[in-house]
Amino acid sequence: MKILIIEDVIALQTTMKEFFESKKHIVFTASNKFEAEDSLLVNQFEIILLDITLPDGNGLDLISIIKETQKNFGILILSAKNSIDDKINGLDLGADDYLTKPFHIAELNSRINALLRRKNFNNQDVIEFNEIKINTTDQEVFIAEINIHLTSKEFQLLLYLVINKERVLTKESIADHLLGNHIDYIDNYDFIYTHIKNLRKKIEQANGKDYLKTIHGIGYKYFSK
Amino acid sequence: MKLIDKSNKQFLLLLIVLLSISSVVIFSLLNSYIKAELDEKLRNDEWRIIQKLKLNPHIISISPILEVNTTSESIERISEIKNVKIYDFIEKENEPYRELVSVKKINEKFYSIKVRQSTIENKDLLFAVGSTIFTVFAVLVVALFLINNRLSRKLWKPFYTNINRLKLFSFDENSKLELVKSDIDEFYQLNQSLEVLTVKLSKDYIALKEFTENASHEIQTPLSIVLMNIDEVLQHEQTEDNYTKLYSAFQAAKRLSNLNEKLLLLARLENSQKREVDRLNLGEIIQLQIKSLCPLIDVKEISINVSYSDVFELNIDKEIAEILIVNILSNAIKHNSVKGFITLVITKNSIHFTNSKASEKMINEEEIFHRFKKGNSDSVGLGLSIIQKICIVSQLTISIEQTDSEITFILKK
Repeated sequence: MKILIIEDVIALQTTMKEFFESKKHIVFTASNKFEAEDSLLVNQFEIILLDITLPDGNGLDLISIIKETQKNFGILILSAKNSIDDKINGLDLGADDYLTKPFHIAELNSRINALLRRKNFNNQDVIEFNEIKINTTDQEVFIAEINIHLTSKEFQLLLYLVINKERVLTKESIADHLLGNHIDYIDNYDFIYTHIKNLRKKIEQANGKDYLKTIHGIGYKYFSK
Repeated sequence: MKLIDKSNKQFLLLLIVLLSISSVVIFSLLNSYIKAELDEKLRNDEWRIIQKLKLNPHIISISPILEVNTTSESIERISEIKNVKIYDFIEKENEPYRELVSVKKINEKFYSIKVRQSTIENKDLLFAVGSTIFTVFAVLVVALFLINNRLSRKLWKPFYTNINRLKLFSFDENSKLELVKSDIDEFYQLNQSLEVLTVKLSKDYIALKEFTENASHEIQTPLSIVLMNIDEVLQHEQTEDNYTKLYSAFQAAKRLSNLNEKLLLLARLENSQKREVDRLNLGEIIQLQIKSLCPLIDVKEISINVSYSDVFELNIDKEIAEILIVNILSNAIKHNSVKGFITLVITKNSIHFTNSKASEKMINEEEIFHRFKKGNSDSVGLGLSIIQKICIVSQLTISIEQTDSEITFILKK
């Protein structure tokens, strides 16, 4: 899959580029509107990550150019401006999602996956991982053909873990994903532990393997094996 | 004390002093004029008697006014005038008289002549002067009171109108201070100074708000780099010690970022222009937010109960409404006891959020909405400030009622 990252802060651009390259994606980068236009004219991208504040103007202006030059695409706006107006404008103009900086790479990954599923580029609404099958449309999970019933938060958690497998997910990242981050409050992260415990129990009852490991009090990691 | 009352008071004090001095002056002047006039009259009378005696040596006496007697004295005495008291049979008391006494030789005979004139008693004169002055004083006070009342209503009207406008003026709204024009120099100058001052303060205030917002934006980018890079380093195997250090750095940066985000939200709420908003049913938003917060509610085993008697509708931006509700609810969860409760009562014009308290400590209603006031150190303490700010921009009011065991936040239209 081809991704275009339009982001003027090189440190962020590089981190995202390295992450998506490690996922075997082809990544192009642009640090300003001018470079982005060049790239858009000669390439077709499935995903475009668009920063709004660019040195040579408002990134939202690029949306019309994207629409002219690209065929199948999803636009995800990245912005340090958690401005409601920008968000509404962006979504009105045709962006698909909006992520406020700072964000967790795992959250970005999860959003891109959701975007791809929504766009249905490869007619894939089922994510398969070893014996686990996750149907994202019906919100159903099968362990070796056995349907296990998860609450919506457990489903959200499992999907997040599977999509970000082989990655250390901090408790903060999981909490933000499950709750959103408008909250001036996380008393403690016990609720994550509770949800993980319940999820493990349900998978275990269906004779599924436990791929989840606790990492040094930091968070969790879902291993492939 | 009103300025006019103050000046009235000064004026009246001055009036009392002036009137007392003038009473003394009037009294002594009157006294001496009366005396001079009386003495003149007595001398005239004496002259007339002498003339009469020359023609007709018949002795006339009308006591106590006039007493003419032949005398054994053989020297003329020039007339001498003094005050005397003479018993009056009619009034039955000693009355003051001015008396002229002289001895004159008329037609080779010596006569003693006494002419008297009744005078006003000093105390009577004093009383007359005093009561006159007092009447003048009373009339002046009444007149002053009436005139000032009229003046203060008329002349001071623009002043009081402007004071009220100043009281209502707020830098938060993008309004200009409009003062009532006045042709009185002092008020005109005051208005001018106030207008200059408020324009300057407004500018400074806006600049400060914009600075806060811009600074917060600028802080988010480096924080993103810090967080993202630590997150990437955490992906690699580290020593136990490094994990601890990296994670605590990550947590600190995350906390800073959360704090900054809340400050940014507050600044944005303050700076936001009025936008078109939707008519929303807050009850629906509450249901959605309860669902999204259920992991936190479940882990504390809090029972939550929502009762509707009507629909609470409001013209509000959807995202702002969500932030409002999520902050009120998460506050109710945060300060709740394990196995506690949250009760919501939704009516047409109010929503009551009641929760059991974690401790019996009474919360200071004045302080609770201040920034960085917080019950425990895990939150950034801006949640209630955000709630209050949203209420202000959305024309809602929020208030608190509490007992030892529960606290209620009341949201009202």
